[in-house]
Amino acid sequence: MATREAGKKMIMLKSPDGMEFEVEEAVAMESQTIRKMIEDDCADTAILIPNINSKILSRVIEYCNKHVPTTGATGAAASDTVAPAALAEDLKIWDAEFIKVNRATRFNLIQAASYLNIKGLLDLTSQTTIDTISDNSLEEIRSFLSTKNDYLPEEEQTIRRENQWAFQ
Amino acid sequence: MAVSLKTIPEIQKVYKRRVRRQVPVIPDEIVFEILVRLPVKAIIRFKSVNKTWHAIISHPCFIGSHLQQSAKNQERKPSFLITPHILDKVIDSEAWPTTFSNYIPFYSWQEGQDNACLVHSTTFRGEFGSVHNMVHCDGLVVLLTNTKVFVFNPAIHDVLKLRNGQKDEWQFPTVGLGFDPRTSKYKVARFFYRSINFSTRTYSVGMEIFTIGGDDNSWRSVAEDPPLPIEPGTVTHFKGSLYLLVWDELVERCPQGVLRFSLEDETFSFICHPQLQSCKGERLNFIELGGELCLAQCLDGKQVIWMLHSVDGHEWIQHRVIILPKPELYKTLSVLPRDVLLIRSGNCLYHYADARRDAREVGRLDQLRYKNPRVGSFDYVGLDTFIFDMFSYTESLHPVTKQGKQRIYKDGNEALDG
Repeated sequence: MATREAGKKMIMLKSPDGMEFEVEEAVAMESQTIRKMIEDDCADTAILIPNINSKILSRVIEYCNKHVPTTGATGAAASDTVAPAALAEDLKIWDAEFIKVNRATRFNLIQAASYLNIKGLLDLTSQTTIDTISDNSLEEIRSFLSTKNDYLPEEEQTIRRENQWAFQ
Repeated sequence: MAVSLKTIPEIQKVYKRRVRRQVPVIPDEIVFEILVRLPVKAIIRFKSVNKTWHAIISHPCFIGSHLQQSAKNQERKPSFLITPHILDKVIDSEAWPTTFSNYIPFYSWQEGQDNACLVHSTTFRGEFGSVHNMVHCDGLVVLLTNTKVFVFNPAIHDVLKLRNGQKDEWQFPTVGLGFDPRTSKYKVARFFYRSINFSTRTYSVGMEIFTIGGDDNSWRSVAEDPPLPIEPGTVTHFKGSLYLLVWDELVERCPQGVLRFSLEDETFSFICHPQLQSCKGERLNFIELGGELCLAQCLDGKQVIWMLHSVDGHEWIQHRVIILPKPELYKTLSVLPRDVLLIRSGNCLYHYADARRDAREVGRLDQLRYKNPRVGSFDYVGLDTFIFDMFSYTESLHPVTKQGKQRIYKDGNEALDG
């Protein structure tokens, strides 16, 4: 395991397209999946992150860097001078900026957050999608999420009839 | 939360079919993660999007994850379920009315809103005369009446009428609802008196269980009778157990404490609480605060909240004391964000913040407007209401009837097979 600064362990993350990212262990451990690998001692050398290309992985690391709890070597909060509410507000603005990406990137981010088990990122990316779809018609949703309707017309009618109240 | 859908066989079929396609489609994990965060009504609507979505939504694993998500939403933005009970006519001489309306509506409400919105309603047409306190657990609600017990999941419009249980010699029924983690089923527990005599302090108390979604569809007697008499109407669910108050009027030199009934092994245990002395049962209520079980003791002008020590589960620690504006009966309902408590006295709701040590009135249940979105108008204002049931509400997709189960689970699989 590489060590850059005293007290800060570094972890190497590898994307399947061959890129390597050196990140602080604390940052990598924002991912529960990686945390488990580290805790189970499966992370001696570089960790290969399958299915997540370097473009998405770098964005995920960017997110984790921003969201890692800011504690110094002594364990005291480094943000003593900043009020927690202001810090949360700052993070919210940063998140809103971060998620301004195209649909394909957002879906890739959801998938990455799901695999790496990063709760905050999963909530952020999924919620953004929900805000877009929850009030739309079924047709709009199918087109937005590029998913096909494979019901026969009478099948769709039956299901809609059974759940009529949900359409009111 | 990250559940690998590719391991679920019926979804795997569709998944494999999907990946072979040329057109890039949204992977099922993403659909899962998005849908699981939606409100129940939208999810039910989205079953009509296509067969894959239907299969995902219908899977028990989705229903479980959705409930967890729903509980998280509840912490962030608490919502409440309110049922106003009105009387068909008022008879002055009655101790407890026998003329309750058989129309049972459920309205959802969030703090700060003037309107509560109808989620579901059922009209029972002469099935009962009196209603008693509702109990709830994970979005399921039990309605107690003088004749029958009904179980609702208002979010999915599912209603179950339970068969009659054993005869109760006491006029007020006592029922609890909780989740048994061993069988992953919800159980309704009913307590009843075979005989009761206050002057001689003699009684015979029994208990029976109805398992929701179980095979036998009837009440089953529990081998062990409760070791002490149960105070009617005071059953609370917490982490796989029911918590009950002891009816001290029926026991000479009654031990101070509460009873716990484990839904898993169906046995009772007694938890001592020496400080409860000389406190009438109606001034006690259980409440879950910050993931711990608490007992609120309402004394004149203040409420003392005791927290059950979670490590050994046998020690009560004084958690906080709330100074109340009037010497009335208050009930703590829920803890809101920023450590503010929502407390209720009669129809009045208060916020209590420890920092200020005062209770501020924030609204009245009889002044909310109860809106029916189907007809686009207000059902009624609360002024005619006799009593309100109100509790913290976590939406669930869990069915309570066989038909509901078929609607939620089975036709999903049929759609996939077909």
